[in-house]
Amino acid sequence: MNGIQLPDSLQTFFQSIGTTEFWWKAISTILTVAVILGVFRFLQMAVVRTASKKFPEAKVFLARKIVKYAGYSIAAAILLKAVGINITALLGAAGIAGIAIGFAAQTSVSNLISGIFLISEKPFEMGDVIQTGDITGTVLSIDLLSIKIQTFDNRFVRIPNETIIKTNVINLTKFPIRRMDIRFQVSYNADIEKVIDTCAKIAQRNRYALDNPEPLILVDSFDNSGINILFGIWFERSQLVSLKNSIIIDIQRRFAEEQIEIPYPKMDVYIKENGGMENG
Amino acid sequence: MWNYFSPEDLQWYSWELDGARAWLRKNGEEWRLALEGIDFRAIQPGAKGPIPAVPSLELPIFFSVGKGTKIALRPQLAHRPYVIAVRNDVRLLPGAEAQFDIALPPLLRFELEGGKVLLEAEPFTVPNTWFGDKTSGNLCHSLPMSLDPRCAGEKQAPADSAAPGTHNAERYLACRSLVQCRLVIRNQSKESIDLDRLAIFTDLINIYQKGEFMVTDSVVIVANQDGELQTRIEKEKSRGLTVLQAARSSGISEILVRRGVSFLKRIAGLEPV
Repeated sequence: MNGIQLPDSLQTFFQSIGTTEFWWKAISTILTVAVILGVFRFLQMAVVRTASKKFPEAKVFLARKIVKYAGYSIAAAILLKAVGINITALLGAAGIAGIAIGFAAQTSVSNLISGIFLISEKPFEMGDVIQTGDITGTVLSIDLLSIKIQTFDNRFVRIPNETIIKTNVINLTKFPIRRMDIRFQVSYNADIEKVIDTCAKIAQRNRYALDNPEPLILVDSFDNSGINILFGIWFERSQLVSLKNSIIIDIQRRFAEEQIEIPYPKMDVYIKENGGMENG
Repeated sequence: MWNYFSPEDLQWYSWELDGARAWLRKNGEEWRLALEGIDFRAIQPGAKGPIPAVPSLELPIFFSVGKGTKIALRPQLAHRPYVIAVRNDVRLLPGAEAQFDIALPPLLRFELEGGKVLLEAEPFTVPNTWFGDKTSGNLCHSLPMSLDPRCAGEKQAPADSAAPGTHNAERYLACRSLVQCRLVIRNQSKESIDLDRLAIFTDLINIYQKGEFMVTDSVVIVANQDGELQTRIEKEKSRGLTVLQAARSSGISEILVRRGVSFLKRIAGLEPV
């Protein structure tokens, strides 16, 4: 009965264990691998230190990973060669296996490529507040396969990069100032010029509203219950909540003082009784 | 009003600050502090202190704990730039110079001798404005006053009636709790420039006591022949005055292009015609 036949390279390897030459080779291989890992570790630190001054964190992270895995690959190749394994054949086999794995890992590869595009295109950065679909939150990290978001109610959301590439993403903090649009109606009996003047004074008095760019006050359209007004106020992006709360209160109070009516939706209902009499 | 003094324990002291008020009480190492701020537009000249007075019970009281015997209320220019609008556009012809006298609302600090700050607060509320475009710029304090330039050869005219709705800067210049600043614009270029809004960065400006008032170094903006802007802080006229607050940054008194010429043009609201 024949035993398991090992490849020649491995047979030679096991036969040489115990010889002085083997141990010298083993020690030199280990030292070489250690030096290579050490050099690449140092390279990682150098890359992080220099790149972090010029590039965003996501790119630095990617560069560090590339250097790290390059080091591991070279160390692994040296180790395999020292053991006597033919790397060329291994790479050939890996190519065929790669095709098979590629089909199976389409989504992961797509996420990986999408991640590289995200990092290079920079539609948003870590720390930005983004909105995608019904999820709004702060970007915690932009990784190779996904991004991580912390929502305002403190949930952790992982979104695959492929999803981000395919959908609309709104970056709420890209620009330093934003405009808050408040839409309301005023009664048809209201003095429109007085409404405009009151809105201008409300914006002027609110400490979170910027006076430049100037607020937008637009008489938009006629509607069923009243006239639609668009009141757009510019603010510094960190003061969203403060402005929103204060401006609504200011509008309600000042409109009450100026006797400007914000109408309720109205509907006339006619009840028809039996016998044909109508009551309005 | 801005000098250090030794308060007695358990005695409230108050400063009247042209409509705003500040209070302080010492009890051993405990300091109780209060500030009642007002809208900058509601300011009325009338400042004095410290005088014995008790604050209203409704005011929030701040507590600080620290060793110290002498304390003062000290002014500090805001961390953000101030932006002021010029009343109607002002056109400066080549070779012309215009001066603007501005009153800046400071931050106030309760400061122990030695420089330790117990509380910093804003007695005058001013709105914010954005100086720049929608993609970049600076958040600034917007002073709700419209300025008229002072020019060479002017004669004293009877009190002109200000255009309805504008705030005459003279009222603010009479307030002792505001810091007066002179802004000088010199057009040494070959083209006329239109002034719209003026911005003052406060990093290199000291605050001095001049009689009963507070003044700063003069800020000079020069449009030179190359079409560029230089901003300079002139300290010559402030020599010999008591420094109430030194500038946050030290260094050369001439600010060259700190953030690029285009930014300086934007902050000064200066655009060649």
